[in-house]
Amino acid sequence: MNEDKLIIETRQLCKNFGPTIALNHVDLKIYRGQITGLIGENGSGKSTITSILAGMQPASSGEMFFKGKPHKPSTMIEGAALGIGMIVQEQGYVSGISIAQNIFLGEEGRFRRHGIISRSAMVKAAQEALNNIGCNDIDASWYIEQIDLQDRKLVELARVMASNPEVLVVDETTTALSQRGRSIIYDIMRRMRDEDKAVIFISHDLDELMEVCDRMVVLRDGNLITDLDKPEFEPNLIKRHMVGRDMGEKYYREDYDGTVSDEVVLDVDNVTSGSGLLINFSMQVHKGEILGIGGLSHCGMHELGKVVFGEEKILTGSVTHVPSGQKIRDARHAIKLGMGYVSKDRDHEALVLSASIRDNISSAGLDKINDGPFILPNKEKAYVNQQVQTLSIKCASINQNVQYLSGGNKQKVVFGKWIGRDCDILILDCPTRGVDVGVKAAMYALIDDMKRQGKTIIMISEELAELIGMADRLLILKDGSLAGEFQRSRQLTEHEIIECMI
Amino acid sequence: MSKSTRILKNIVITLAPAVIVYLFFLLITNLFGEPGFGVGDNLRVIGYNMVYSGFIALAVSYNLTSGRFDFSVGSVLILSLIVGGNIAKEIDVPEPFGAVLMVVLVVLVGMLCGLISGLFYILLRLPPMVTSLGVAMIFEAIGFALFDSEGLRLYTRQDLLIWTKPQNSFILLALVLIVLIYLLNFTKFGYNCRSLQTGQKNAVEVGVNEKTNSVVCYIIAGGLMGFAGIMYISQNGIIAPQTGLSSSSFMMNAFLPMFIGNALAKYSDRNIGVIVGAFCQACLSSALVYLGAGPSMQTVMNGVAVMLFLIYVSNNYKFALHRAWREKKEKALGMTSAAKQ
Ligand SMILES: Nc1ncnc2c1ncn2[C@@H]1O[C@H](COP(=O)(O)OP(=O)(O)OP(=O)(O)O)[C@@H](O)[C@H]1O
Ligand SMILES: [Mg+2]
Repeated sequence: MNEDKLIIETRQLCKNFGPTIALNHVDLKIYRGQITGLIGENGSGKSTITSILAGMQPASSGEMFFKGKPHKPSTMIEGAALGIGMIVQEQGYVSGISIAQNIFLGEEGRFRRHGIISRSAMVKAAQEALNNIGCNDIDASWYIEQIDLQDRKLVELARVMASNPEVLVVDETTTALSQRGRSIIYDIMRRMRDEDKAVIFISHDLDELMEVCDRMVVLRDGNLITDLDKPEFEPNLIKRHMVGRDMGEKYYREDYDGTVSDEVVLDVDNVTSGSGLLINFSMQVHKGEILGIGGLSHCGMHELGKVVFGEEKILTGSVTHVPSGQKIRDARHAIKLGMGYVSKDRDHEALVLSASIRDNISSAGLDKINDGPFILPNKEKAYVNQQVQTLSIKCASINQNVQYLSGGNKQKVVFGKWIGRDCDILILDCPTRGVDVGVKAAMYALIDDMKRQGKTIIMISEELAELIGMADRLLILKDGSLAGEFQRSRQLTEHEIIECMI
Repeated sequence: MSKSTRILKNIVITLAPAVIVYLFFLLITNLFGEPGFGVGDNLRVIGYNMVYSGFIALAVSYNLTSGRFDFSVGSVLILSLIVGGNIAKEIDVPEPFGAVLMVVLVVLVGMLCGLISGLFYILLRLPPMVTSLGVAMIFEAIGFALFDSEGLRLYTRQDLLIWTKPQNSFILLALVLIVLIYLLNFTKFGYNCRSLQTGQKNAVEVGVNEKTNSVVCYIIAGGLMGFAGIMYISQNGIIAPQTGLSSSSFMMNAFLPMFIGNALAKYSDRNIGVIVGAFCQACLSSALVYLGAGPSMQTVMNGVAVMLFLIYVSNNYKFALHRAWREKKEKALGMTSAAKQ
């Protein structure tokens, strides 16, 4: 590589969190005019190294250079001012304030005239920043709560781009985004590259990385393993570098037999949800079926998951648990009937961040580990340990707080919490978000096993490949109604489905 | 909605609680055959109580909205009065300036106390409630040790006690409000206050300086307690040092105005909202006196008012929600019947 183009260099960078070694003497080089992919298993140190570059946290030891000069930003504002902007993996906005305030957080001083910060000037500039990334439909003067999670990520993108960075870091953002958000991000990354700036792109989606990146850097357990140029991209090789051994070929389900029993277990009849667009929607789900649900943003699919689980207000119609003949009243009732639900909004709905892994996982399985009113500590520990092992959750101990886990490991905790319960009907909303390929394969295998045991799975996802790879039947929603239905088949293509979505 | 109608609507909503509460109690007291509430002398009492508890509520609001519960505000009031007042007493200046000088001194000492509280908070990194209890005890002890434990006695110095006159106290309040409105709405400090209020962790991660911001909040709170102290001494003429955390009772009347202020913040400004709330509370206590309630009954009613208000605030979004639900349901049913035909 042409060393004139070198923009970032780390030398012997280390980061420890107590006994955990997150980065181990890493020498990373990032060049201009390139999109560099950063890949590695969950907990391999990707977020850690990029957040140190951006100024979110300091390194334990080692040196960094940016444009040839020593680099040691102490806050993200300082990092952004120097030219490194980062879209973080976790929630990166501040609630309770306007979108414009979020975009210029910490930089309000720019709008000061005669000692007064002008709100209207700020809103105007924020709107320009949004328009610049192609989000003209988001109004900068709204409160951030008025837009949905995906659009909030785009607001974060607008904030980062407003400071005109020379290096853009995108940390595992795309899985939280709908198709539209993804194409916005891809466009910006390509634009940056064409302007001879640099992009660091973190993702677990190998296909996405191979398509978008010019170069890929693999991390494993805090070590930089290798550095590959585009001609060297080869999926199995990359996976081998990631996990340090050969991985099995098996990923999605291998059979293409989409036939399921006639026995209906869930009957969703003419349902309209309180929030979102879902309107007069009906479907039936069968025993032993993996039902995939997909669509564009705002299509109502996430609300559908909540409706089925009794977590969402139903305005018309009903959801019936057919084996018991009961209409589902609320989430507690649904759990009692043997249902489980993995929410998409993991930080708010699915996890208690300030509680331990142990408490989070056992909370959904309390009836499996109790003896009358008592929780048996040994049984609890065994129960939790089993989930930690099956999903290879990377943690210091099961008593570690969930908030200190890497993004993908948090997701595994959510998954483990419900898998362990042995539910008859499991609703999964973006279950593999931010999870590395190895664990994804394990999750798919678990889902397939459950199907074989006659359990029913409703899988809602933004990832078409996953839906096509796993579902017996696939429903596509559009504007809150059914737009298409596909049976499992070897011939089914993403193209066909996208046609139906738009 | 055009800009001017929006501004008009916001002004109406902001002032509505004050007008409604005032008219309500005016009606009730007259119905019970106890006229006198809300007019003449009683209006003056309400005005005084509004300014006095308004200052305290403003002080508490700067820290509590960011989750810092501060027990020490009462002890700041006492200490700043004892120190600032006794110094002012010794300095000889011509007539109205003595009273002004006292305000300046008391408020400065209050701000200094606030600075000390703030430094304790950021240096000790303990929960703010714990820190503030310790700070309160220290301030109480200092107040007790100074000036032979005499506190501050000013009843012979009417020239220093001009601040109970309504026009004077309103000028004081208006000046303070102007400064606070400026600080909270048009400065970086104010913007930081709002971003630190809810999503603390993310704001800090991006680089908003939480430490500086909280120290400034403590200083503002201290200064405001100085103003409250001025109102207190002007009315009572004397303040004795207190011990055993009894100073914490000074913040009792802060809560109702503060919650009302927070609820009104989105229509105008939190500071103004707090003062509207302080007016409502002053009306409530005066009306209760007219209705024959004793002091303990007044305390109970105040607590009930806080509860009722919080219940209302945490539920009122439901009205809008129900309306949206009704509309969507009608749409859905309309679609179904159209399909049947
Ligand atoms: N604040 C923290 N306290 C303790 N441990 C931490 C903290 N932040 C990260 N870690 C640990 O450091 C390691 C690396 O985490 P990091 O977030 O960089 O992983 P990652 O590669 O981004 O993973 P993912 O793909 O799941 O996002 C993990 O083992 C994680 O548990
Ligand atoms: Mg990460």
